[in-house]
Amino acid sequence: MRVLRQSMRGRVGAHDYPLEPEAAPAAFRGQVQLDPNRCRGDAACARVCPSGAITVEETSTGWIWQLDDSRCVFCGLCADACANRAVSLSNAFELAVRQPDDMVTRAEFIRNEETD
Amino acid sequence: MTDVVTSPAVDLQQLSGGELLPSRVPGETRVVVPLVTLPRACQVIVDGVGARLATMVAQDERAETGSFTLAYTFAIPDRRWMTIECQVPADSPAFPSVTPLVPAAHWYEREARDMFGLEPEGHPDLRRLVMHDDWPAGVFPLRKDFDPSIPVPRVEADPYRFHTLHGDGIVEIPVGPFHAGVIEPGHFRFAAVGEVVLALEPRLFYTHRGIEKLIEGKSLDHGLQIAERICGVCSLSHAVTYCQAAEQILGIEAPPRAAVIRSIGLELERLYNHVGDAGNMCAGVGFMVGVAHGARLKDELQRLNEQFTGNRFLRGLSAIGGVRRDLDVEFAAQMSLELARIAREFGELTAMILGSETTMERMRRTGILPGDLARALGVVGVGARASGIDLDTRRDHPYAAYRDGETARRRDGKTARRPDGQNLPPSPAVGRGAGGEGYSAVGRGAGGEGHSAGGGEGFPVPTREEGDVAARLLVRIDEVAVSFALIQALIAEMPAGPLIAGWTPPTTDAAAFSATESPRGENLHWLRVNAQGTIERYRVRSASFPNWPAVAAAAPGNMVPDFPLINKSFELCYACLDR
Amino acid sequence: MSTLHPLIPMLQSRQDEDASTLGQKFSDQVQRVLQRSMQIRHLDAGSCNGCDWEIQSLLCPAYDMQRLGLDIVASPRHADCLLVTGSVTRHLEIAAIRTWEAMPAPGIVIAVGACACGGGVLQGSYCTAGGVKNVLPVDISIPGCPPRPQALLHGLMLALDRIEQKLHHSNHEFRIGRSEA
Repeated sequence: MRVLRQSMRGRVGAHDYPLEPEAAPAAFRGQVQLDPNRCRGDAACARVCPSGAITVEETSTGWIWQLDDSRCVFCGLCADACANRAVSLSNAFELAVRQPDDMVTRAEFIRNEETD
Repeated sequence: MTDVVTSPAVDLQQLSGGELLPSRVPGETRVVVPLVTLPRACQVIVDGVGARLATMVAQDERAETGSFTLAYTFAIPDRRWMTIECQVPADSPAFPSVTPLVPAAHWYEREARDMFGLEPEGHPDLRRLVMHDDWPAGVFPLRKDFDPSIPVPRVEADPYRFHTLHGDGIVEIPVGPFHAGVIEPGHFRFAAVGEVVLALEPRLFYTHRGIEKLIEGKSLDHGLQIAERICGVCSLSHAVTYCQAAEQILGIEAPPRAAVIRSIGLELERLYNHVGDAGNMCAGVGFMVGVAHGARLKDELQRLNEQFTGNRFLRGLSAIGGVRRDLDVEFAAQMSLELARIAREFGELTAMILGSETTMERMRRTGILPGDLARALGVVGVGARASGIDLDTRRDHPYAAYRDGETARRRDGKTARRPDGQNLPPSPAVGRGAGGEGYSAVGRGAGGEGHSAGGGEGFPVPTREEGDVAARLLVRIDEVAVSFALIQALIAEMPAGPLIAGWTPPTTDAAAFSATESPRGENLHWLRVNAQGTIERYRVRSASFPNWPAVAAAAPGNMVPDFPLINKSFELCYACLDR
Repeated sequence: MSTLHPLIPMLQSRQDEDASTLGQKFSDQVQRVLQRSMQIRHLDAGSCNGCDWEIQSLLCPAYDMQRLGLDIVASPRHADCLLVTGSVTRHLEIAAIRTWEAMPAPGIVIAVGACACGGGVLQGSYCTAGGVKNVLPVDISIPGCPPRPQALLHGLMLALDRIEQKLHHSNHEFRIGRSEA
């Protein structure tokens, strides 16, 4: 009833999204993010991923970290597993895409022998 | 109480030459009986102490013992479980069916036949249940020698034979599997004369995803992610049940703070489900203001879930050994305020629904599930409580923060208030159903006398006697009040301490089971791990499993257009059932 | 220390347009391209019910998708777009294909949620197809487990762009056909 009364007074119950941007709450588990400066390629994230969304492939010069949003279930196990805190879950939720390839994030790392 | 419970075990031994086995969870009596005496043994338990068949687990142990095993687990009030096991030889995979003596075993045995190829001899209905017609004969997905990586071809087969009624004016109405609304898939076959349903036969398991097989060989942590996704709207209940079973195996316990956070989460889950359902039931009668109001409140509760756990369905809260997220003081205070406001607005909604005479008129005497039928089918949850069966896993097999003393102490001196402002029975020891005071707005004496709750140390378990759609709505409304009060009480007294207990993967073969009260009723997970620390067998018996046959039983005699309302009043989940 | 390969672009947000821009274009597109509201048919192809609840939520007053000219319809024959949830189970595969075939062209398919987009946690099950893309031609994917209602609205906006492309494409072919005749 109160809502009815509110709307009769000209207030609308609906949220403004998508006409206005709206941020997800801070706790929200959105798209997986990689901090490239912290990643050591130990693949802990890939091992715990329950859906095979994250893969880490060893190459002759380093490794390739790859995330496939189409498989990701946003459980956050990767962020918990990463000892270097390289992986985190952002609160980005607007992930819809036209091309399946757009759901894949790929980062190629080259091992720097001098400091490793 | 103890005498009554333990005596059948002794009788059983004398009756059948049964042998006691070490129990797997506290309060379990475990007996292995010869195959021929299985049905009689089950009947003794059910008729003797009024036990309810809680689950049946079949296992393929041919590699270890050369046979299949069957375990019928019964829930006995006062925190007891009774498991009757038997071995089915691998060379003649058949067993005497329990169904003729214990009707609740009906679907369990059909499922064991589909998944393991174990033939229940004397079962009245040997049609396929889980696997549909085009699944080849002789392929049994839960046997250990079935390789899920090899695609199974579709085969030509006789279409499913629905039961048919013949006679003048009887028409068959097939509906589904896809329905007109945003709803899960399932097929319903009505036999009707004019508008009146004579019989209803549901055909389900369309969303069967093979989860029990998929989870085999996975680590416990990986398994949790799958278990959490059995069902969207009971996510946390499934996750906590799974975690508790795993903790039982590992011999650990969630720390007190984690137990309280789990309970808060479980009550939040109940709230958003029940509040949304109260609104959705209005959709069944075309009371659109109620629908909109309920959906709005449900969304606000889900937004709260999202702020709390990062997921609108509370996913990712529970972990093996505890919880992954803390509930800090600041947010707890904010949540407390929000919930108080939502409780008030839910009160406005219920007053609106209960005050709408046309709405209530549609709900009263519609879709009646008689208590004795509910008992025979082993119905759980709201469906059972609205038909006069006083059961609630939170009280009968307490877990998390519902354990002895804890809840009672927290609730001491606090009074649950119904949304319409009347007090619920103040002392948990009274344990009465909340129906007693009657709803003046319902416009009738509200017959629910309320039952004396068995244990006495629990909290109010609202029950009603009528068994109709209105009773299921009223039970939900009362449960919402209990949940709001429970969360406030839990928030007020959060124990300090760690959030999670450490553990290492198991190194011996072990099994355990656990149950929680989801919004739809008791969820029971049976879990076995092997010496490699991976999952050997996982059996999920969700609340929807024993309740679906009850929906079909409640439909006859009603009008076809009332079926959506009846279906919504039970609010069962297809995904939970089909797995 | 590790360094990022210089040839690989830094990880960046893949959204080329933000929500508000899309939102402003939104109602215009419904008017201009479809010249009517977009009708959506929901298809549960074996989901856990989470995505379905969120789709249902779009109808509630908080999101009220009808204000944007979007609505859920009861039949695929009435639909412009198919919202598919779930990884397409064996028992629903044929029904799902029939539903898609019943839709008038250019019917678009939106895969909603992790299971529909790529199989989610159900990788390697004997009873699922591992994603809608293995059964139907998917035009839009909306990841999430489940995607929150706002993410669904975002995906529906992208869908409208897609409808525009498809209609123009078929119009284009039609014109070529006529000029040849």
